[in-house]
Amino acid sequence: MIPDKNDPRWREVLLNPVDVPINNFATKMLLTRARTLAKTEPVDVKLQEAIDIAFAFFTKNQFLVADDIQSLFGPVTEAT
Amino acid sequence: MRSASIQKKLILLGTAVVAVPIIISTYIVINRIAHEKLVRAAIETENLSQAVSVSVDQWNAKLSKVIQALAENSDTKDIHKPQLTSFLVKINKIYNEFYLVFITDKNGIMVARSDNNELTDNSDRNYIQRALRGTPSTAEAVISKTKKEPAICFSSPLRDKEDKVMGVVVGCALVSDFAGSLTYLNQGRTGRILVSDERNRLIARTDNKRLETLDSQGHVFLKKEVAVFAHLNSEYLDQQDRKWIFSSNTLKNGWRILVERQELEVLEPVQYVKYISYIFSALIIFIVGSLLSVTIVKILAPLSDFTKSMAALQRGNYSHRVPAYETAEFKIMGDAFNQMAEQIEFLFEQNRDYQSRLIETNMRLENEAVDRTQQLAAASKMSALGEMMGGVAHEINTPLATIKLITGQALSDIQSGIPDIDAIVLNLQRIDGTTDRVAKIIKGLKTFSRSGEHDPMELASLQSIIEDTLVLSEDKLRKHNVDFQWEIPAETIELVCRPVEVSQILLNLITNSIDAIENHETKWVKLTVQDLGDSITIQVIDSGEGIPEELRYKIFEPFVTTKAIGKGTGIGLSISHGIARGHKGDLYVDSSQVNTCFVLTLPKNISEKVNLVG
Repeated sequence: MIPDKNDPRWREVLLNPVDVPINNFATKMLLTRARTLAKTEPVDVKLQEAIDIAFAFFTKNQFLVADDIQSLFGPVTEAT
Repeated sequence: MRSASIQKKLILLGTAVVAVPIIISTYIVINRIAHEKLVRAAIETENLSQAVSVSVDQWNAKLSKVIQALAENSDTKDIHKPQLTSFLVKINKIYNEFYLVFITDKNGIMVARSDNNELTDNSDRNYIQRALRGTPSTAEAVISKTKKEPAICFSSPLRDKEDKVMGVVVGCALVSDFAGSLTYLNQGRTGRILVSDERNRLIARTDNKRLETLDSQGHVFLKKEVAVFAHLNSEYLDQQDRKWIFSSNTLKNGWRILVERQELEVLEPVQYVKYISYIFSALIIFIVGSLLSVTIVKILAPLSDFTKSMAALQRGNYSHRVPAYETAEFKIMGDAFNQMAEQIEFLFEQNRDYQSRLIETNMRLENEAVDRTQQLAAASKMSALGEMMGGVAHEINTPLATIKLITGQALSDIQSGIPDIDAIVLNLQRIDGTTDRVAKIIKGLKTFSRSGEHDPMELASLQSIIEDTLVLSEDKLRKHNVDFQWEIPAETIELVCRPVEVSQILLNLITNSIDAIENHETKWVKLTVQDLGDSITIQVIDSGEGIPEELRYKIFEPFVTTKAIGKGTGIGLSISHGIARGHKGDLYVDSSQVNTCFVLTLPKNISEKVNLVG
């Protein structure tokens, strides 16, 4: 399940990444960019921008990169 | 008009060939005639001068005869005898040459005269004085007292037996008589004879001009030109810029004779000959020129026809023919020309037919090519889509299996006779959710499979476009075990474009890369993005060795492919190149890279105009 944008897991995923298996090149690319962006100044603004970008990507491709979503945020319980 | 030029040249040449010898020979003949005239005139002049000398000598000889007659008549030895006068009258009647013959004594006093007029004292006269001094013959121009007109006196000393001068015998002749004899000599000739006495005074001339006027003493004043007479002054003649032919002869008595002839007078007949010759020459040249013109124009008329026919052919009038000629050479040329024109006309008609057929065929082929290209473009796209369908099918298959499982549970529950409504509702909700999931996947595929060329330009994130493309390429990359690398700026790059079309280019480049390195040991594809401010550059590099130089530009042409037969349509890069150009960008091969590198450049802000065109 894709967390809400205000979910603290986004912050964890982007600022304190844990080494989890990511299968899709697109997800890897997205995370690399979003994490880099989140660390730039001003951090609060850029972090939110990075979250917006990542949220949009996962929402758009939630079924194609579902396994990556599960790795990052836990098992998908229900489709919303 | 080339033939007209040849005609003119030939006419001029022919006329010149005839005219030049005529002019030269006429000139030579006229000059020869003139020369002969001048030579003849010079000879005549000399002869005339001699004749005048003889004439003057004859006058002196007449006086000598008078003196001789006196000597022979013993009765007249004494000059004072009265019968002398009657003797003189008798003598003069015999010779009848002088209008007056008279004798003076040794003092110059007249003692007898043939006209019985009064005896006068003429001792002061020079011709008397000179004769008394023994000069054999003298003369002087005076005005006759009796005749009242110019006269000349021939004087000669009268000697006795001891040869002493005892008087003077004088014979007087009128100048008119004397000049009359000169005129007689000059008859039939041009020019004039001039005679001066020993004092350089003009005493006779044959042109009937007045010689002189009288002074108070009865002497003759000579005209100015006669003043230079004695000198035969060539300087005088030159100053007048006139040419003269003259011959001077100085007689024993000191007289001078000039036969004067002007060159123009001598050559006057030649002038007529000259004019006639010129007219005759011009006439001949005109006649010859006219004959040549008529002849040459007639001979060369076919050339003019050929020139016109050539011009007609040049203008495209292939039905034009030259007429039949009688002259053998022109007949051959005319036949050859007409045959050639017929062949050209035939070939032209044939060519026109071929051309119209070719145009029709071209139009048909162009239409077919457009149709085929559209079909191939669609096929190419669908082919790429098909390759991705493996991965997508897996994504769809999983929810379908879930649906089938849940459906089976629901059916089983219903068939048990004691259906658990809550469980059935829950299962149906799961089926509904899973169906939505499949629908979204299919929607994503539909987005790519449709043509984006009619989409409006919109502001889009380049990174999002790349990520979307990569999602679609994922399965193929994984299947071919290709390592994918990237260098993309973290900051979002926004550009005005048709996202589907840009995605199509990137998908095509990535797919091509994967195919190209299929059999390579090392397989990687790298995508880099550079933000250049007003534009962006995307490089798609793979582990291949690059594009051969001979294919570097052809590769963007339709139906050019390096893939195995049946694997590639050869249309993908052509379409991608067209899309890039449609975005005011470019797609090319970067040959400076060691590996195969395609570069896509796109402006960030495309103009409204392009938007409309696009």
